[in-house]
Amino acid sequence: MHPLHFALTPTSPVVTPLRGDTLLGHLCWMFAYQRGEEALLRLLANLTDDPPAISDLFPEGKLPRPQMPLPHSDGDAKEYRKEIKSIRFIGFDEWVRLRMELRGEEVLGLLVKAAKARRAKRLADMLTGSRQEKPSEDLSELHSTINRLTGTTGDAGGLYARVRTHYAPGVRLHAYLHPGIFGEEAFDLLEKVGGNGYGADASTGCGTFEIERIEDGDDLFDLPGADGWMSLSRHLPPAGVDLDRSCWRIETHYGRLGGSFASSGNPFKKPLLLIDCGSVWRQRPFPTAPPGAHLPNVGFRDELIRHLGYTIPMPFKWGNSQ
Amino acid sequence: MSDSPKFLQSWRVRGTLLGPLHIGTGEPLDPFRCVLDGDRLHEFDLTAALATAALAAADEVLRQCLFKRLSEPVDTNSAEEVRDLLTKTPWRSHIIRSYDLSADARQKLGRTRTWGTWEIQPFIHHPADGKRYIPGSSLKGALRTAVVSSRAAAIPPRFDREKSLEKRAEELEKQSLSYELMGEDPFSEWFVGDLFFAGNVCSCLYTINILNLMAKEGTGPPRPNKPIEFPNLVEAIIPAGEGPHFEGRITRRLKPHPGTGPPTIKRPVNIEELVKSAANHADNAFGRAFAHDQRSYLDGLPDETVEALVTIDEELKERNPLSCIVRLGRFGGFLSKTIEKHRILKEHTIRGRTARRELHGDEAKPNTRMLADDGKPFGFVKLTFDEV
Repeated sequence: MHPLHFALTPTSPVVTPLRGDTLLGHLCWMFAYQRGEEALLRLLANLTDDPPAISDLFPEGKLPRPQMPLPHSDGDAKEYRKEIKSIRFIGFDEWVRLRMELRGEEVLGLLVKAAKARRAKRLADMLTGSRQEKPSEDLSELHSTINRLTGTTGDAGGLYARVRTHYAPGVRLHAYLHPGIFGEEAFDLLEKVGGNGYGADASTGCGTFEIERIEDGDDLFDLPGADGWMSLSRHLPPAGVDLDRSCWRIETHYGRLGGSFASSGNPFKKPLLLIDCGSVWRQRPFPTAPPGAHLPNVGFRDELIRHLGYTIPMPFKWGNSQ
Repeated sequence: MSDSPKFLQSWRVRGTLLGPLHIGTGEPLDPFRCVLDGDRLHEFDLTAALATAALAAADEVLRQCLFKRLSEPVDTNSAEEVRDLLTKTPWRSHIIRSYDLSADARQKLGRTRTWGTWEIQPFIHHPADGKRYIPGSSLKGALRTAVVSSRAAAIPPRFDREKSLEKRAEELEKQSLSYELMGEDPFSEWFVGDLFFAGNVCSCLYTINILNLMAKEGTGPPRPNKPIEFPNLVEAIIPAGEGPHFEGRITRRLKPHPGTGPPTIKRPVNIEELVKSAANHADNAFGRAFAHDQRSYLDGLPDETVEALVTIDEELKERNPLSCIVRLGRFGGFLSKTIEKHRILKEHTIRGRTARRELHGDEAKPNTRMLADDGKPFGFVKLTFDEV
């Protein structure tokens, strides 16, 4: 399986975090806006033949950190425990090295090295008073509520705040897309999602982005003899894996309905337990389609509402000791 | 678009500034993080500037003085001293943003001892690159007000004095847009993106002049009083060439199908109604004295103000199905009647009563205006919509 690789450049602040399964939901809505709900339902009837999947968005040149249980912390690992916990990504080169024989000790060593570098940089910045350029920052923005009768704010000012994630100019994220049942239309649909806005406050300009394909011919998805895979997005539990010798983290997802349902009486989905991005699974042979599942009837009002919990697997080989 | 989506319609919105525009961030600058240098005001990172000051004895004294001064209340006596101390820090190496000043602002800032009392309100900008923009929410709100105003005219005014102004406003809004649940709100179909400026604009910090025109009954048209000083500096975007000056996109997303989905919209708003409502609202809100050629109203106003008002009035008279004038941002411009006052006027008319100074035949004279120090009213923009 070789998914499409694309870069995403945010062109406005974002309120809803950029996650693969949420993007996939937007893709479905864009299909419905273009062809109608009946056409979408017909398409989704064949979902299990070739399910679509989108990975989470990662900083350029980075992949998610594998969710490995790390060896008992000692020495440097103990001292840098706090920084290690906050590291969410590893580099392409680091993954290429790790994937040949994935072991907890190797992952820990890499994380300790990154934690040391991070702490040193922070101290240097403090001493020199230099400002660290962040690729993104969550900022609280103030808005006023206008009384339509008087054209002014009320006595209390009508002020409220919204937290938005602002990206620095030129920041590019990257992700992977397996079109599945959407076929060649998938990329165009994703472009339209970016033009119209993603997530909360899209109706007032948030969540717009541009995408472009990356034709890098990377062989990250080509690893003969792979006996494991790392998930690149949130997903539902996959079938056919060795549960006893895999590692995952669970996240409780309080999803919201999108599109026209977002402003309906109850926009929430039923809470779901999902497997977090970066989970590592033992499975042979390597899956030929995005692993995961879909869950029907997750809306409170409409039985047709479902959650598409498929992920894109990145292959690796387990180390012998794991 | 080569394949026009069935349930999506988009329009490119282009805007031309008819005067200064100010949409604030909601958070003023700290004047004690700013330095006045010639005709520019520079906002700088005071913490970083002090951290990197050389550890020579003289600079250490400076650092201690400044820390002491800023930790105490800064009154008119100490404001000038603090301002002078700030200029001695290595601020040039730590400039965050710089602002041009109008002639009036330069003069007032240069001489004042009340440095700390100035409220400096920057234009809203992206924090990462400082790029100024017009939030989609601002335009969406202005269009929503216009549609509410237009539809509310058909709803008889019945004022329940027991209810608060906020409650009455909420009820009128829901009644005119015919919704109870959010899903029925016709504006839930409209998506208004942020609007970005082209290269033919510049920004400037202005002081504000308030012309307070209060007419006494029976004494004829209102006359301007002496301008009132307002200790605000506001950053306004002004045209630096022919328009259009900014551009964005507005999209209408219809429901995919009406079937068993969420509640449908009882009275949808289409682009024609949107534009027409905006045009009517601007016309109603603008000094209607112009519509009735009550030019005596212009007596006593500065020449620049008269010129700007006449230009706006001429633009208002041009009626185009996909073009309208809208007022955006802060500082009232030349608003005369609000929706509330129009409804009070109507109620009194229905009951055969005069509404004191609010009712002078069909006149609707502005009685308070906040103008930029160059005399121009804030916020009037001309929008054109092209379907894409």
